[in-house]
Amino acid sequence: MNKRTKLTIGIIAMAAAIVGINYTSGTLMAKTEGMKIFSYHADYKVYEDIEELENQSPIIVNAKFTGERETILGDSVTDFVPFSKSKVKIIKVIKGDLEKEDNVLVFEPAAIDSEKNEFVTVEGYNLMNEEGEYTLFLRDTPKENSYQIVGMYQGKYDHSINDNVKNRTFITDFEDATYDDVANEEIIGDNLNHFQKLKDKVVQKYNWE
Amino acid sequence: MRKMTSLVAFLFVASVFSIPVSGFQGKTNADAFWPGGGFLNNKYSKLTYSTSNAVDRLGYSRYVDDAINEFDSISDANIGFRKLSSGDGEMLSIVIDEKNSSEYARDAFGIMIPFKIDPKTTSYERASNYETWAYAKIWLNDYMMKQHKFTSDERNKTTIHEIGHAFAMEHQYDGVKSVMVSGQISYPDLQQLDISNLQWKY
Repeated sequence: MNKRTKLTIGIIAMAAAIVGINYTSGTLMAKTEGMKIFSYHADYKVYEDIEELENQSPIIVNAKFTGERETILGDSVTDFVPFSKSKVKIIKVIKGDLEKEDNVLVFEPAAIDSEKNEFVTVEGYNLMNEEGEYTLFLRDTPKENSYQIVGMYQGKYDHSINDNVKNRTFITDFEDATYDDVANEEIIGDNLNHFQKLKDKVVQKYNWE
Repeated sequence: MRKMTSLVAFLFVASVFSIPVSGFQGKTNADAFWPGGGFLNNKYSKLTYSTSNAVDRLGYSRYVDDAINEFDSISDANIGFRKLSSGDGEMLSIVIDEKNSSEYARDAFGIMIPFKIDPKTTSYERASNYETWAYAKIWLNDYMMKQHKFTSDERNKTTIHEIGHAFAMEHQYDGVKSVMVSGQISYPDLQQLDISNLQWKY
């Protein structure tokens, strides 16, 4: 391979890295630079303790996100509330009718709208990532092999994040923030203290294996 | 010494009962609303709204009518409504969440999302809760309300709660007597705190 060819390949590779690769489905992460955050409020059940959460969850598992995610967007922004279907691998079944090594779809109440460069979420829920080690509280949906996260942010806990949210400063005003500012957070917005209260109990009771 | 002790004790008790405790007294006036959020104030005197066919088909018309009436009946508030057909330029749409499995994605009973006009395309784009809105949409999640075995009063509360968001009302703290508290709660009517706040703003 001569010098000119190597240089051309190098420039193309650099250009691809700089521009970023934008997918709304598949294994690759969406470009999030400068991505605006929209976190909306819902009317939902607030779980006061882990026992209530467990009672409402037919399935409790340790799981890892495989990296495969489909973003479900409407034809227009007013069509329906965007969400994601994320494939997870079951590492351990704590409760319910799933098996270790099963791959299932988990509906996440958040989505990256790459075309508009916007992250849309409900009650500050943040998407799973491949580094995370999750205890998930789930219930069936009518869709085959697909599960809903109970209580939204209340049903997903990352054992690989050990920082207590109370010890940190979080962005709660999203007007000037971008998704890159919060991408590695488990949860964003107003529900931090409530989330941490539940997480303390979850990690105490459910070990990651 | 004894008198001093009694005085100190009295002052302590008095201070405990006079200091507002968040989560107990609730957010009032400006604190009860998203700053900068909502339609222009004068739009609420005749807020145009529509309901989808599914609202009627699934039996939610009575909850919507009750909720609208709750807001419309508030004295000393410039609040009024006009019902339009869907797609007739309404400011607020109320629909049932049942498209593309969206209803399964959120363990939530309802959600309100605001929109503004994109000046370049003149179509709607997402707005934050803290901006001026051109349009808002409420999705009521009948599937989740059934999953949680909602009563009529609880359906009433969720409907009023979401319309409250359309009035730029924020969530209230847990334990406060308000329809703006999140959760499966049996409040078929606006509570006094909600009414006072709406009277303050409108």
